Amino acid sequence: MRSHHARAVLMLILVAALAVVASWEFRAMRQADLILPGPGVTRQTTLGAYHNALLGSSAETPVYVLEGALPGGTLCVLGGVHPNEASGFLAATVLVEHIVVERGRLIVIPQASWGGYTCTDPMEAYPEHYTIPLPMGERTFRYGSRGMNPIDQWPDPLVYLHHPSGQQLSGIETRNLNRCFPGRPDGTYTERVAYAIMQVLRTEGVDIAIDLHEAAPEYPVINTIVAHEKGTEIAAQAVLSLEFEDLQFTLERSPVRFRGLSHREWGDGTEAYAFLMETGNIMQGRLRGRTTPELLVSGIDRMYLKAAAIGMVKIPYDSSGVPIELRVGRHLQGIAALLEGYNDERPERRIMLDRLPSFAECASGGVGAFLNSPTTFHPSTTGEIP
Amino acid sequence: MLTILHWIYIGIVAILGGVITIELFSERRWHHQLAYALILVPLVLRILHIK
Repeated sequence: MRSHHARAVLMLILVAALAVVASWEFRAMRQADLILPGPGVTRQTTLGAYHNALLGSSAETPVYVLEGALPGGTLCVLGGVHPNEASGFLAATVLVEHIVVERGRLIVIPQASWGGYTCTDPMEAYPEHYTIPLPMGERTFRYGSRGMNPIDQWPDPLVYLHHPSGQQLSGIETRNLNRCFPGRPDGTYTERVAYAIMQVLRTEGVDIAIDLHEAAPEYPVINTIVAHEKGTEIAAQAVLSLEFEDLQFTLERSPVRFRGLSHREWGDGTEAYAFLMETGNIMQGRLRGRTTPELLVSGIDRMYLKAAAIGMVKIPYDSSGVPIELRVGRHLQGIAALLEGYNDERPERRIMLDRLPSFAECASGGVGAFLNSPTTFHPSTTGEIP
Repeated sequence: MLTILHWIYIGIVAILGGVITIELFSERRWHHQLAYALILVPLVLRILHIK
């Protein structure tokens, strides 16, 4: 063999080695986050149970059901509709791992855009993982992308036409779950996921549905509850109740003409009172400096201190930042307040949750205090998994 | 339709990868060979659906 041929073979081996390393990392991105269901979980299924087209696909995300001993209504909470908005996912995970339902039923989908957890947004320097400290040890979770992974839905059109309204949005929104409701059974990957979630709300007879999000601190719709008009009174009561807890939330009405959003389509297309909550995530801000897992958890950024000083930030912001425990605490306290309003509106279908951490408890104990530890976790404490 | 487009794309990448591999073997200068090898990396990743 000539020397340049031998060198070519060596270089092909180098290419293969690089591909193996990349494959290893790629496989790790597809590994599901560890969620350790607590004693309140009575049934675990997947989104595929509500729409057969998702069976066996990367969209088949877990669905947890927590059934109370007493009859009542059904609350559905979604986290991870946007996998780069960590507090929504973590608040939903706290519900799965920590709380118990006394009356009624709770359905939780912590990672609604399952496919979006397998990649990160390009050009954002986002980390793949972040770590939450526990009282003993720590838990690591995936940080994902706002949209579904393009490997599951490709290519993006130049213009995204929302079904069934025909509304036109930027092509990239075709992979954004919160622009694709109500979806369709034979549509794109994202539309099929949206359809399956609508099926959860319809077939399970959900009375109140809450979608948990985060947004950039300069985004005007932040620290807010967005309510479909059916639930305006419930949301107004919740905002007042939160004010008594010294938590400022604004109340936004779900825009009627902006189609595809969870609160709009869930409220229009199902019997549920539909809400969306937003907290402030520095990681999503356009003004942020160094983008690290620590920034996601601490929410402390020097650039945002300067931005806050000149009034460019829509949330209270100082050197203590907006740490993850405060953002998760806001979501959990918000859920409690919305439930309080719902229970006043529909006393015959009350929903009562036990062990729901308050904002103050999250702020003082951290999120990790309400997550199970992999080292001490016993699956026997969970409900049946069919 | 999207599936057909996808496999056409993968086919183009595979042909391009083959051409570059042939060039890699016919090239005598080591730094040009290295350049070909580096071009091959993303093509191999795309063919294997790794990205």
